[in-house]
Amino acid sequence: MASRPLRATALVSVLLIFTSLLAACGSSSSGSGGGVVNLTFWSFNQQITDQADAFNKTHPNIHVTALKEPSGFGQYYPKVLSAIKAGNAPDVALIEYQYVPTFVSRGALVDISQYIPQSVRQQFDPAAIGLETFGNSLYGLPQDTGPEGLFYNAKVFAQAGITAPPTSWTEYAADAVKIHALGPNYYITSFSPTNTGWFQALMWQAGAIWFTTSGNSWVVNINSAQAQQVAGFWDNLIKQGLVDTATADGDFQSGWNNALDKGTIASWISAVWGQGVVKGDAADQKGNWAVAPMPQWTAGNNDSAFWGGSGISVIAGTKHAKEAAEFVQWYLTDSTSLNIGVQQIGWYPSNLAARQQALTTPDPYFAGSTPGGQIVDKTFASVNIPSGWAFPPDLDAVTNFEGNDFNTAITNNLTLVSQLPNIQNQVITDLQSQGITAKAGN
Amino acid sequence: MEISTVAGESSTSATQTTIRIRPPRSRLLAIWNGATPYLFLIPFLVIFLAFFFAPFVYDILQSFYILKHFGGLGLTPPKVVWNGLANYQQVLTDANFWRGFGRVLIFGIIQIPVMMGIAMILALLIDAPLLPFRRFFRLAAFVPYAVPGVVAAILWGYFYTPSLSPIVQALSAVHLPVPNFLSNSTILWSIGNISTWEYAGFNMLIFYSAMQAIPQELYEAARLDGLSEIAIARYIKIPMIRPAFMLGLLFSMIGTLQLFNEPEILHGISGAITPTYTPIIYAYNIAIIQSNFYYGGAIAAILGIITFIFSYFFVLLTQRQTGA
Repeated sequence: MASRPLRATALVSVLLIFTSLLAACGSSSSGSGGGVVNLTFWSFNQQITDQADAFNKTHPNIHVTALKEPSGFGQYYPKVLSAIKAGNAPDVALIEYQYVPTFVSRGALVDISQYIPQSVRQQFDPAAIGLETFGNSLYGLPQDTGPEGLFYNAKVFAQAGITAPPTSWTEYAADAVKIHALGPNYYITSFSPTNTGWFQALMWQAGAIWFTTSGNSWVVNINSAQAQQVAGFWDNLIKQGLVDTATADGDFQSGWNNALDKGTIASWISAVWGQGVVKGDAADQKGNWAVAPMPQWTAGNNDSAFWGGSGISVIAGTKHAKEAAEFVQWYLTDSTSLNIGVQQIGWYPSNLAARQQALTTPDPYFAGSTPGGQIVDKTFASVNIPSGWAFPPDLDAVTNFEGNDFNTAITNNLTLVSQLPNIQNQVITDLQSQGITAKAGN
Repeated sequence: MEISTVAGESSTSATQTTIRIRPPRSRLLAIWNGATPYLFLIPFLVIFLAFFFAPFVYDILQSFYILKHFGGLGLTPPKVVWNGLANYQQVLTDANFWRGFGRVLIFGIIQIPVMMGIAMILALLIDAPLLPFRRFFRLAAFVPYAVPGVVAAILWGYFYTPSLSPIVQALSAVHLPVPNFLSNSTILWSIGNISTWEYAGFNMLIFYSAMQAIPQELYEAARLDGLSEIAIARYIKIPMIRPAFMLGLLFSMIGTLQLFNEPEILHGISGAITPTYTPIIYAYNIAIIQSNFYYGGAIAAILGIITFIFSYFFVLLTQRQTGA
């Protein structure tokens, strides 16, 4: 047996070995040798590696590593926020517009206004620049926007005896009956209660503005008369079994992909970026799909709303904000990068010069109503987006409340309308508990 | 050569004594000898400290804070402020937490006895001398445990999804009523079925190994007394493997309180699984999906404390009963 001090010496030496082991584990971060600044970039699209390669070729002092990340509410944004907390976040990342306020509210984005001159900002759609601007701060540059329209399978519509896409929501409801008459598995659309962003866009289009600001306070208006009208419209379709509410058939789920491809789900209210999704998921329906403006609440209008659309932001914790901002500017103004974005990724670009080019090419996949194919983007070019909608700084919580309550409604045969007051209360309470000023608008 | 025997003896005098008595070379040797047990502990300690203790301490520290804005629209970076025990207070009165907790309790009360019963029957069967292909059955029952929990849930999710399931297709082909495995009232038992499938074989193996340790003399005596194989199982095997049974029970209870993988995977195909379905799913949704590490930390800590108290009293109770 060793004596006490000897035992202490032994313990100390073991601890020394232990700590040096830990230190060895922790020292893997590479220094930027030779004056080259290393940046990482996260986005949803595979083609970003080609864009990064093009950047790296012309910028010897900056090296960008682009990583395709899985998209999706429950995956991507939590990953970015966790990475910031863990100190290994990317320098640059794609952030959809609806999440920008939430990220700003967490201190997760870098103000790049000092790096991006006005002359550069003027190259973009002012509405999209507005989604990245808070006071004098600029939290990113806009990549693409997501105005909505109606994608529909014209062949299935014709089989159901529908000659023209619905122009009003009343016609849409009537068409829903006709399509379901084709067979028990045929639906005009899937309705996923947890697809919260999609439902918010339906509200937005109807002028049911859920979130606005009044001075220094948020005004939450989830239970307004217009909101009840929209929710009531879908309640009616759900009650009659005219929309597919099976969770496995919700947008982007495997059952939905399968149903689009078989033609049993006949349409999708979606943003302009949805064209890539339809083409990918319903490859067997090539030539059958077409795109039309959204059904309207008021005849003669061309009201739409934004669903998604993304900007590129510099992420808090970066040691190279200047170089990161330089990459962001290049990514959304350089013609090589924009070409890849428009032609391969399918952006409806916020960069105005690039948007003009995007509006000229017909797509043979969408030949359902126009032989030879439609110029898909054109349908989205002249829509009216009702003003005033501002995404709240706790969208992740809103998504959980809305998804949870609508889910409860669907599984327990309750109405969506009955859930609106509870969602509104939870949102206001959540904002207030974070020390944010918020009040009900109704 | 023990010198520090007198309690309260000052360490300086001990040092001096040591130095005088031991020549330098053997002192190094003594250090080496003293270090040996710690060196053996290092692999365990490194992993334990890095992946269990450090996150645990970090979680507890986080749980005392909160992110706060101070009025306005909240479109500025927030401050991390001390929140005392307020997060804990909130968890204790959080209906979502307790509803999830109640759900796993009901789950445990039904699923654990069913699974342990199946495991016991399987163990007795493969331990019975007359059963043919024992090695095959032993392996077959254990294989599901080797399938990772997430994979098992995906596999069963395929059987449960109406549009993909061969079970549903077979039943509807012969015009039998088709169960909805994913509804509000059935989903908990669909999860229970996956857990049972996964862990019955594992518990079976624990019971079976314990049966191998039963002395052969007992069987000989029993057979001399004319006991049937069923009576041997009833009066010798089952009572003798009681400690192993209790261990399996404890593991199952802890596993049930931490139910996560199966419901999280099935969440994608069943609307009945909410973000507050089980306590761990709730903690995960708050901490990771809503990025509220602080409140999520408090939920996790309280669940940990409850699990600890649960296990402590369970062990205490079983030890008292067996008189160990």
